[in-house]
Amino acid sequence: MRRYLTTTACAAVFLSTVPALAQTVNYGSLEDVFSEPVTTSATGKPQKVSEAPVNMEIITQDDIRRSGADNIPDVLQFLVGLDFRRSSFNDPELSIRGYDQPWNPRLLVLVNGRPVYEDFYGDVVWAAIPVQLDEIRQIEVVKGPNSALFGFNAASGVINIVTYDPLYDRANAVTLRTGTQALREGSAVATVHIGDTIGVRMSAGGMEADEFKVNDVPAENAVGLLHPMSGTFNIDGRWQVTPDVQFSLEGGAGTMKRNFPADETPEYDKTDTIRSRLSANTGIGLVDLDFYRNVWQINYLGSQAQHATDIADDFRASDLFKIGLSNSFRIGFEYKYNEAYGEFLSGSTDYYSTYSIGGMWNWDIAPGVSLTNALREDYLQLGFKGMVLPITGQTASSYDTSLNALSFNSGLVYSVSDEDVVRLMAARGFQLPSLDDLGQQIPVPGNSLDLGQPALKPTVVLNFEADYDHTFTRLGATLRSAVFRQNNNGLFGYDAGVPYQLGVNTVYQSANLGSSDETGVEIALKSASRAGFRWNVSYSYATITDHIDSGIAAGVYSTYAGSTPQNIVDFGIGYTLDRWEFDAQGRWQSKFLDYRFNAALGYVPVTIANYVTANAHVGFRVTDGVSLGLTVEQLEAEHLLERASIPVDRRIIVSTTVKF
Amino acid sequence: MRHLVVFLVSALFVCAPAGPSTRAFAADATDTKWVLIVVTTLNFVNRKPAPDAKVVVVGNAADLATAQSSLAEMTVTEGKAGDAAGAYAIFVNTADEARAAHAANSAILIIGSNESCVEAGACVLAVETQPKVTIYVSRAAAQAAGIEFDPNFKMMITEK
Repeated sequence: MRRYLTTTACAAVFLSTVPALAQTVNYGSLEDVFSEPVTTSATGKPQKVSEAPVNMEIITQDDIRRSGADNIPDVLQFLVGLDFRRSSFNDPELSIRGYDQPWNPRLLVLVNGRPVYEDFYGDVVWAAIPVQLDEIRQIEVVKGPNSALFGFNAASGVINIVTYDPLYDRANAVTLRTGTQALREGSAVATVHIGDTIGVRMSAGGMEADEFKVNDVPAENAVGLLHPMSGTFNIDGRWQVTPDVQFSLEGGAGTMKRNFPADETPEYDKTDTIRSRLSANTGIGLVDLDFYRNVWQINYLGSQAQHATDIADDFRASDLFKIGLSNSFRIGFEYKYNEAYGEFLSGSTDYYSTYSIGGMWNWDIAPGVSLTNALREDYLQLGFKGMVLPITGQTASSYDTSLNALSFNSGLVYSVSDEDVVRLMAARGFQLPSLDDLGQQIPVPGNSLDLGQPALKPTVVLNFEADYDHTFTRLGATLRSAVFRQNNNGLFGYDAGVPYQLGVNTVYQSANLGSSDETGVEIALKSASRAGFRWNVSYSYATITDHIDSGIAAGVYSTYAGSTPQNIVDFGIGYTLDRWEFDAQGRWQSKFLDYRFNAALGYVPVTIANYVTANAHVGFRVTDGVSLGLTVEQLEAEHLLERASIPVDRRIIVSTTVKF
Repeated sequence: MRHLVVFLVSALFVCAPAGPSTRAFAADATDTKWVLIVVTTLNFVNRKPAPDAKVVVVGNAADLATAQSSLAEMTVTEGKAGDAAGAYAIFVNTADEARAAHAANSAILIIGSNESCVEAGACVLAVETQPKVTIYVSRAAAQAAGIEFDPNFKMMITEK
């Protein structure tokens, strides 16, 4: 019924708000037409999610609301195939299909297709992403490499956060939250339309809380902890210049403080971003020109007080077109310039330029059968400006290196029957060494030196996968399953090499350290009934075998087999009764090995025991526009050690949302 | 855990299914859902009608009441294919009705309820809602009527 009401509402505004021809994807209207979520994250062309040639999960705004969570990683943490662990109040970490590392650089996170990770580490600073939960239409999670579309770092997967459109949608909401840990949090989203041709969506939000208790944390890991906070602002405007041309301009800023006690590094980051985009329906197809600049300032305030500034400029051009009745193509070019400077680099600047060209071909072979192939070539040139410290043993010419990377994605989608879909996929993706991995030069008191390695090679991720989906029409349930085999070649890690002596200094240097294979299985069953009852249960199994080169120091960056939980079961149940919503989500996962930094001993292994955790949420709709929520995170335990850091405390969150 | 499993299995059998209703509505043009989806599909047509444009429903090609309520800004009436003159769109049952409508008004948007009408090049647009929503567009018929569709929408439909 909700779907019909939505469709009716959309039909009622027919002709009043929708431009003649939409150059950017009108997710809402397309979803209303096709009665399922629409995505562009698989191939760059709009597709029904059931026809996408990738393993994709879609989290909707309803899912977000019913989770009761106040941040994106908490929303996603019970999704099959995702690993979640939290270092401190403001430092959640997500990885796809294991291989989790601190500052996980294998995951590409996007907002409306724009990368939002900070390039210096390749890390996602979730709290500083300038997007509010109330303005998110859906979160698309692609499992497996997708570098042929998005380039470097789409190695383990992609998370694309799709917001409501400033021109097509009206998102207006204010949310206030309070709770344990002295949480004070608020956000606001407003959309303004000027006639039928200009739309602007503005959002702002912020939070402040106390850090979790540090009773069980070694003293050296609990020094100088910051007060967790974040604040973000964003403005996104779109102008229908002519019936065939749209221009978009977006700017945003974010700041956050987080603690990472496992590495003694409290952190205070700031980011600014600007993006402009021109989309046109032309005689040669749908042409898109897209430029963005991301600026990150990273400040370590702990014992390793340092800072770095990273500026990434990116220009992308693409053309999406159809030839004949059943062949779609997308060709694209991308140029990116990324530079970093600051104390991490002893006042110098290291940078790289990448030039990329790629294409996608989607062929509807027969009714219910489609084949998609995508290919992309990246060329990267590294460089260095300033003084290379003589004590590093390197020279400026050490940075005069380049690399090529050829990535591909192939997917065959076969609708065997009305209820059965099979997907066969092969993909090759890349994880690029960060500027920190490549160029840091940090003299550390006590005659040691942290040193980048400009000759580092990217990690090549090769993934083969078979998926099978079945719809139990009579039961209103869906089964999704996947079997995959993944090879990671040329893994690398920060300070992974065995320390060596250079003059009076002991050198800790990034290094390529070997390869690793993973085999995994995922099975998920979910259902939602017209009576308001919903449930889901899923199981994922992953086994990893590392092949680490001799001479590599075992530790946090080189022990993937142990650091990935082998078994994870996620489960959920919910019920909607008139104005009430009741939901609970939980997870059991097996043990894994994590590491805690100790100044004297280096990285010390810590076993994280298997655990169960569960969240519960109750929502009450006071009026059509006003709702209240009560969320309890970690029902089962007051404290829970999710990684070798601060134990996570139970949270209780009370929220009020007004939509207008 | 055992209780949870028992509860989930029980729920499978107790709760009403969320799947489509049991009535057969493949190519059932009178289905409310079908009409609403067609109306939403019109958002992706380049040529917009005047607020008081005329829309004709031939026989039971579409549920008249639903079409009238969802196209409230337009005048939706029951009629014959020959009534297409001056109309913005027409709902038809068959390819023959579509051809007759085109003969009366070459620029009219002709909407059918099954693939065969589009396959025959008679209907511009056809929508099927079962087992899942599939939209068919005849390139030749659209071109003949001077109709274009949203470029992103075109990536998601089946063109004939």
